[in-house]
This record gives sequence, C-alpha cells and structure tokens, in this order.
Amino acid sequence: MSGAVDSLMRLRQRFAGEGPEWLQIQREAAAQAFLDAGLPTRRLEAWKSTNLAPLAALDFARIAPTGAATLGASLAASLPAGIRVRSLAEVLRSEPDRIAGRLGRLADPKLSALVALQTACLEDGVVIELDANARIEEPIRIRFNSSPDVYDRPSASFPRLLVLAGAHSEATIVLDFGSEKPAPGFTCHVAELLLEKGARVELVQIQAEPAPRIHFSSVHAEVEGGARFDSSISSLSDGLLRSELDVRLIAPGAETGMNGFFLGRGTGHVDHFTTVEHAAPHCTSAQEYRGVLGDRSKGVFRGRVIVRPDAQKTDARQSNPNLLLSDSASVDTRPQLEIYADDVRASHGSTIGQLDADALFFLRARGIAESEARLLLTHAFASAIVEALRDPGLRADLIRRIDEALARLESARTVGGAA
Amino acid sequence: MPNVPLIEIKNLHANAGDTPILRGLDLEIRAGEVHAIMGPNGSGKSTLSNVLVGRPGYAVTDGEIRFRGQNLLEMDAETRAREGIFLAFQYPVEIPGVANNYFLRTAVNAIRSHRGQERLDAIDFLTLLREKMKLVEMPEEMMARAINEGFSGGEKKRNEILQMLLLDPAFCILDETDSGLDIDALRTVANGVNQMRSADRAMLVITHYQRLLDYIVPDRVHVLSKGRIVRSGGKELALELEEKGYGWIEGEAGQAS
Amino acid sequence: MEATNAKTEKPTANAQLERLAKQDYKYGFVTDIEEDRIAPGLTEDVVRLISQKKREPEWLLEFRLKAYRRFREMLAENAAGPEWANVAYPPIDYDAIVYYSAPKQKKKVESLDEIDPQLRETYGKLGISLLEQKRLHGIAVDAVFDSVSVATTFRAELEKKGILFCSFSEAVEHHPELVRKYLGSVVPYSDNFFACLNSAVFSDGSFAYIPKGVRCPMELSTYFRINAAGTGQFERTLLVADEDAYVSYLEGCTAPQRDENQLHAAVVELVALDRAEIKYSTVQNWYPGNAEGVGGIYNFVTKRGACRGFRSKISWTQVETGSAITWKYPSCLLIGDESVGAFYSVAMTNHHQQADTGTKMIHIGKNTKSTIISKGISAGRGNQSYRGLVKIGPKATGARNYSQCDSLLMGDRCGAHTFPYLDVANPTATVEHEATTSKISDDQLFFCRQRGIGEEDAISMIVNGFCKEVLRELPMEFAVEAQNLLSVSLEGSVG
Repeated sequence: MSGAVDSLMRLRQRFAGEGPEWLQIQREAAAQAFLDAGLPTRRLEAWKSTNLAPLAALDFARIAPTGAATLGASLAASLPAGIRVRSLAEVLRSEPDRIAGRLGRLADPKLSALVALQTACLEDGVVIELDANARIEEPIRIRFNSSPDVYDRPSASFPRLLVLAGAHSEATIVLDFGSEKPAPGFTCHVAELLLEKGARVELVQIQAEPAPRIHFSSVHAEVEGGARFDSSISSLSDGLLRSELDVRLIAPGAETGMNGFFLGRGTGHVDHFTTVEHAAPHCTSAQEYRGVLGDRSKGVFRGRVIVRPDAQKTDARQSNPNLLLSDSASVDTRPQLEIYADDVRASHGSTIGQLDADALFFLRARGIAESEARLLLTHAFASAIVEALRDPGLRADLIRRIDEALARLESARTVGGAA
Repeated sequence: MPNVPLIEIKNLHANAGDTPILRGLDLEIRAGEVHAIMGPNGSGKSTLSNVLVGRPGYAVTDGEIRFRGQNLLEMDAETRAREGIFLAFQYPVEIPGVANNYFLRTAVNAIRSHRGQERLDAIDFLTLLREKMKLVEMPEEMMARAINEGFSGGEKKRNEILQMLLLDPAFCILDETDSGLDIDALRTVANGVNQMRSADRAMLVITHYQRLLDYIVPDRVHVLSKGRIVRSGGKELALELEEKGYGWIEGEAGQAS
Repeated sequence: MEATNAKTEKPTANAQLERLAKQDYKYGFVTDIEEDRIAPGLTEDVVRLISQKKREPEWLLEFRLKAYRRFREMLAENAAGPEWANVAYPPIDYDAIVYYSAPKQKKKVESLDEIDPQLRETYGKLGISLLEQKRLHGIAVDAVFDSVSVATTFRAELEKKGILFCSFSEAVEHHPELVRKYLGSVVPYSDNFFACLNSAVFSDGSFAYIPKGVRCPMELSTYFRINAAGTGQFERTLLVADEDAYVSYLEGCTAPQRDENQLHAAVVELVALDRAEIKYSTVQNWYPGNAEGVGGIYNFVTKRGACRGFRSKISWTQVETGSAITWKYPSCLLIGDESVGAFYSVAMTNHHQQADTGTKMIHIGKNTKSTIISKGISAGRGNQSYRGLVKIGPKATGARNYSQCDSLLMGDRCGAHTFPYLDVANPTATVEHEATTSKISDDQLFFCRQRGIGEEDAISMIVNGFCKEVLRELPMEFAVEAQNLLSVSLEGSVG
C-alpha cells in the first residue's frame, strides 16, 4: 500500500466518527470503496494520460481543515434574503437534516476512487442555499488557501461544495484555489450542484495552486427543466492537476455551457475530463475548452457527450482547440460522442496547432516585438473563454491573472531560447 | 375536357400539426391560367401549398381537392409530383454529396416512366439540361455540385425554376419565390416562369408582396385571410393591396363575418 | 368521419425504413464440396500440422510456435480477449474452432481451366470468374476458399513485369526470402490478441510484390470465401511495393448463412518503400447474421501499412456492410519523411450488427500527412463506434492530420459513437478533428418525393451522397458494387 493511502486512511480516523449518523455511514462505505479500487492507475482508460504516482508517494502529516475557505466577511453580511452561504461543518452541526439525502447524491464513490477518497475524508466545506426566486448579482467568492504549516509537511484537504439552487434562483459562485507558498500536498475537491426548474447558476473555478501541490476536482451538476448551469474553469497551476466535470440534463429545456481554459507551464500536467449527459429531450449543451501548452507541460482533454435513447432534439456541441508553444510540450485530446437517439444535432471538434505564422508576421511587420506579438495572439486565444463570464469585474480580474500566467510562460520561453 | 378545372378545391379545412389553419377554402384554377394568392403572414398561404403537395405534418380535416377530376388527397407525395404538381420551395433544402445533375436525371426519369415515356440516357439528358440552364442563366459547373450546397439564396431559387423547367409540370406552385431575391435574380426567375406559361398549364403564385406580380402578371388575384379567401379579383387587386395594405381587406372581412 | 390526407401523412425517413421489406443475404448459399479438414481445437500439434500440410520451412514453423505460445499466455491472462472495444459478444471457445479446412481438389491443377468446376461455379455465383477470358479486363484475382487459395488469375502476364502475385503458400515456397524479410515486420506476432492467433494458425492468403519502378498495370484482387461450417478463417496478406512502385489492391469477402458465429481473424501487412504507393480497398460483405441477430461472422482483423520510404503513400478505403461484429483499424505507420497515409471508411450497421472500426495514424517522420474520412450509418439496432488514434511523435516536425467523422442515424434504437484519440508531442504539428451526427431530415426526403422520386430511391440517394467522399476513392467496379450494397443493406433496417 502506498504512503498516501496509508497515511490518509489513518488520519481520517480522527473525525470519521463525527457528525450525523448518515454521514458516518457514507464515509465508511466510501472508505471501503476507495480501498477496493485503490488510487487510479494508467491502466484505467479514464486515467490513461495521467500518472498519479507523485500522489501515491506522499506521506501525509495531516488533513488540513478546509476552513481555509475564507468567505468574504462583508459578502456574508450583505447577502440578500433567501440566500445562505455557510460552512458545511456548521450546517452539519446545526441543521444536518437540510442536506441529508442531498450531500453525496451526485458524487458517487462507486464511480470514482478519488470521489470515494474525498467522501471518506469529508469533514468540512461550503453549503450554498438559494431559495426559490432568490437572486444575487455580485459573485459569491470563496477562496481556498492551501498554505502549508510551518514545517512544510505534506498536507491534504478535502473541501466539499454543496449548492442547492431553488426554482428560478440565480447566482454566480467563484471558487478560487490558491496558495501563498509552494509546498507538497493534495487538494481533493468535490462539488455537487442541484439546480431546480429555471435556476441559473454559474460556477467559476480558478485552479492556481502552484507545484508541487496536486489538485483534484470533481464537480457534479444536475439540471432540471428550463434551468441553466454554466461552468467556467481556468487552470493556471504549474503542478499536477486533474479536473472532472459531470453535468446531467434531466428534463426538457435544461441547458449547460461548459468552458475551460488551461495553461500548461513548467513541468505542469493538466487533465480535464468532462461528461455531459443528455437524459431528456430538447436539451442544449455547448462546451469549449481551450488549451495553451508551453515549456515541458502536458495537456489532456477528454470530453464525453452522451445522448440517451429518448433525448430527441438534443443540441450538443463540443470543441477543444489547443496551442502547442514548445517542442517539449504535448497534448492528448479525446472528444467522444456516444449517441443513442436519432433526432439530434451533435458535433465535436478538436484542433492542435501553433500560433498562426501569418498573424505573427503581420504583427511584427507592424513593429510589434515577437514576444509581444506572441502574447497578443495567445491572449486573444485564451480570452474568448473568459469573455463568456457574466460578471464584468470577475472577467477583468481573470483576464489579468491569465495574462500574468501567459507572460510568465513567454518569459520562460525567451530565457530558455537565449540560453 | 375544357369544362373540368385543372385543380378544384372545395371547403378545404386543414391543420398544420394540431393547429387548424385553413378554414373552408374554395378555389378553382383552369389550364392556361395564372392565379396569385396574397395574404399577410399567418393567413395560411404556406399551409395551402404544403397541403397541395402532400407534405407530412399537414392533415386535411374536411373538404376535397380534385386534380384533373381525380381525388388528389388519395395520392402520396411522389405520385402527385409524377402526375404533374410541382412546388417551388420557399426554403430549398441542401443535400450533401448528391450531385445536382444526377438528382435531376433521376427525377426526370421517375416522371417520364410514370407517363409511359422512355427514360433519358445521360447524353440526351445533358442536352435537355443545357438548354434549360440557359433560360435561368445558371453556369454549368453548378450541375456537378451537390444539391443547393453552398448555393446563394438566388442560386437556390434559380435551381428550383430549373427543376420546374425540366420536370414539365401541369400545375406549378411558386411559394414565396421572390423572398430573398435581388432585382436581377427576380427578373431571371420570372423570365423562367413566363417561359412556362402555356394553354395547358396552370400556375399558383403565392406571395406576400406585389413586387413579383410586376414580372409575372396573374389572371386572377385572391386574398387569403385567416384560412379563407376573402376577396378575389383581377390583377388590379394586387395593386390596390399594395397601396392600402392588408388591414383594409381584413377589416372588411371582419365586418362581413 | 375525418377526411384525412392519409396517403400523404405517413412517411418520415424512419417510417419508411420500417416499411421496407426484408432482404435476404444474397451470398448465403453453401457449396457442397469435399473438404480436407482437421479436428477442432488449438494445440501445438495443430499448429505443427498446419505447417506440415503446407510443407513450410523451419523458420516459419518457429514464427507460428512463438505466436502460439504468446497466444496461450494472452488467453491465460484474459480468456475474453480485448475488452476495450464497444462491442459485446459471448466468449469464444478457441478450442472448438476448426483451424484448417481446404476443398479437396481432384489433383494438382496445371491451369486455371482445370479447377474443380464446383469451385468455379461458386465463384461464378459470387460474380467472380476465375477464367481469365471472362474476367473484366484489368483485374487479377486470387481466390481464397476457406483456408486455402484456389486460384490466381493473370499470373503470367504480371510476371512479365516482374510482379509477383500468388497465394501466400506459394510465396513461402517460391520466394521465401521476401516473405521472411517482411512477414511480421509491420504487425509483429505479439501485436494483439487476434493478430497473435492469426500468426499461429494462418493458413493462406495473398502475396504481392511490385518491383522497383513498376506501376502494376491492373488491379490486384483477393476474394475471400468462408464455406465450411465450424471453421475460422485466418488468412494473411502481405503486399510489398518497392521503390517507385504503384499498386491498387481490392479485397472482397462473403460467407454462407449459418446460425453459428464464425471467426475471421486476418492480418494484412503493407510495406511501401521510397516513393511507392499502395491503395488498398475492401468491400466487406461477410454474412451479418439474420434480422434477429443470430449467426454472422466475427470480423476481427488487423490491417497495418508501413510507409517506410521517403514520400511513400498508403491509403485504406473500406466499405463495411457485413459481419455480425466488425473490429478493425486499418492503420498507417508514417515512418518515411513526407509519407502520406489515408483512411476512407463507410461502415453500415443494421439489425443487430456491431462495428468498432477506425484507424491509427502514427506520425514518425517529418512533414508526414494523414487524412481520415469516416462515414458511419446505423439503422435498426445497429451500434457502431469510430475509434481512431492520431499520434504525432516528438520528431514529426510539420506533421498534419485532418479527420472527419460523420454519423447518420436511422431509427431510434441504433447508436453512433465517436472516440478519437489525438496525441500530439510536436508543436509544429497541425491536427484537426471534426465529427457530426445527424439523421436524414424529413425535409430532404420530402424534397426528393416532391420531385417524383420514390422514398426508397430517395433514401438510397441521400445515403450514397453522405458516403460520397469515401466511395469516390474506390476503383470504378467496386464503387458500383459498394453503392448497391449500401442500398441492399439498408432494406429492412428498422424491422
């Protein structure tokens, strides 16, 4: 057994017996499922391009409280009526029945070993409740800070997000994963979002924990009729990152937009795995994941579109363009269509290429330095994803952070090129 | 049989899907005549053309249609086409990979076989095709392309008229053929249609605007409103409509009922 | 009473398909001919016996035995064989299969005219004349009946140009140095489960060698026929185009209608040297099983071409309408700089047929190019998957790939799946993949009917239009056959 499995299974014992009985049962079943499956290896089709050996080798000293999730205090005070943002631990203490049968409903430990691990080690997180018709314009920002302890020992954290969006409610939720200081460790994050009729929820994830921390994220959304779920993920870390997104459209008129931008730097490895399941007729999904891979990084995109037998009039689109900016970078892309209904419009496309040489030359001919011209073009490629965000402030903020990351990539290139 | 109308519609009631659209429409057209049907959006113009050609999704709930004295409603769509009913579509479809000339020859021969005529071989067909293409000013290279794929709006409409010229129908229905056409294309299309006017052929021109009727001059003009013909007259009626708008007729019809 | 527009109401594309009559498989007959067959079962002795019957040299027996031992290991690891493909079938009992069956010919034939008339008649019924004077000019045929090649036409004429075209067994006998040099060089004996089985028990197949600078003046063709019951067919084809050579090769297949499933596990290896070009076309029409999914051929085939030379080209064109299950991925190893690979495929699955097919384009050399055009048509309860790998190695500077995979669904009980794998490790590569899924639109169908074209003809026209980019890659004679096959295969599609 690996160091990670041993140490985590030992560490979880400290709180495994806490909380309501149903949660204890869930934890134990999940721990068993995880031990049966073990950490995923590359022999599994879903993990073919991603090696978790660096995780297996870690010997964890502690499971850090996910309370590192700092809610903007001012925001919590100013939340409009009908919207509650609380820590999971608090809800489990005060009103566990509110989330019984909902927590863990979508994230099935039997389907994913890491979801099983997360559930086995589940202690805290965030619960967001939107009552029917409740709306909030300003994004609800949640920051997860995974800074190490003073000894820099490997730590793991297992934040869980549960979003209960009542009928016709509306909100934007931002999950910002970062760290003040690079250190070994593992963030294993699971989110569950239940969108009732006509709800509109936008979930923005910023994955920016630096190497050597390992980041895993598994987001599950279930979307009722007339509801819309938008996901936007920006992966800016230079470490090992795996991000899963699983959206089920379960009643006519449900819609989802799934966007992602991933940037590979250093020896970073970024792996996105999306699934959208059209389980009802007249649903729409549109996915666009854009990758920029530089240095020695590797990008992986795997996107499944499943159209169930009765899901007629489905409209499903998926696209995954990638830019490879260095000789040592690589990308694996696997867009997949699995279609069991005949009256559907489904398409996917993937491209892999480099910056347009003509465009680059044009910019240089107008007097723009090559590195600046490259930045300009990469920026244009990346920002198309961010522009879909609803909140202008968030948009500007994210574009700035992406530009910073791109600039770091370009300067590494220039320095490397000169050497 | 000069006394039998080519097409005879009596008390026609029809649904588009489950929605009643036509509510007791009567119309007779004799060979040699060109009739125009005008009316505002939603009056039932397209439903009428679709019912005439037997498009799935439209159900006749009452009334009858006779074509050369035969019960048209008993014929399936391809039989109607082979018997000589032609619809120039408002929105011609694209069929990827199927070459125009191959498609046209198949259609021409299906109709010729039905009429007991010999099938045309590739050479004879090409001669016929070239002759007709000149009339609608279509470049020959368009024939090797897939049906309507990548055609402009005007090219699609010309292609419809070309099909009409080739299939030599007895009764032509032009469904909003003028929509989306610039004035040159409109002239070309009208020229093709006028070539087809003859003593043994009838035409039904369905249009929202008077414009097309400047080029294809009708013998009779009917105004359709809420699924019935509310007014009929000579070609001057179209001009009157242009001037006063449909509100005028609809107001009248409303008072009458 | 409602005065309905009844006659005009019925047809959507699906309703039409449901109405179409069931069409029998045309090639389902059995030829009653005396067979030389060995007892069922897979043992080392069986492998030795096959080798002995064919009077093979020691090195070839060794090749078979290595493969046999590896296959036993694979079987011990997982008796079900490869499970990653999107197909389902009960486990195959590899010890119940007859691995060698050959028609007993009265005596050794000196000329084609002496071939058993019954065999000649069989091929006649299949539309393949073994008599040269009756052949369409321009096609040389190697006819493989169960385990052996029974006739090769036009051999003398080809030999004048130095082209070798004969059965695999004859190649082993007369050109052992060529066979030894290339056999297993593209598909190693241990490559995969079914290739490994084939390497142990293959019985015959076709061999062709086109010497330097020669353009083969006619199409070469192999016609495969499974006849005997309880047998598997394991043929092996090896084609080598030397520098500046060109050849176009056609392959056709049929089998009798039987209630049992029969295994066909072939291996095809192609080698193209500098500037050589090989076009390989297949029209696969093995018995697909009946409308209820009983019987039919399991077509588990490994086909791979190596573009070893500078600017060499290999293209695979396939029209797959038969077989209960198709599992094949004709692939190209683009080793030589500026070499070019292509894969054009039409696969149709009707009734209970399953297909998991696609290609692998492995870009190794600089400025290599590949094109993938795949058209899948699913009807009835047919299920099919496109599975394709495009791999750009770190040294494949300037590599380009374009892939397009379109699926056409007819009826609401079939499935179409697309699983492309694009792995790129060179920044100068350009890789594009596009896929779409659609159905025949009611508007398209109605448009054709309004122009007087009946529904069956309209559907067939639209389907052929959908496949056009692939069909135009086929040699003329095959293209017509393929179009007819597509129309026939569609009939009774939603029963």
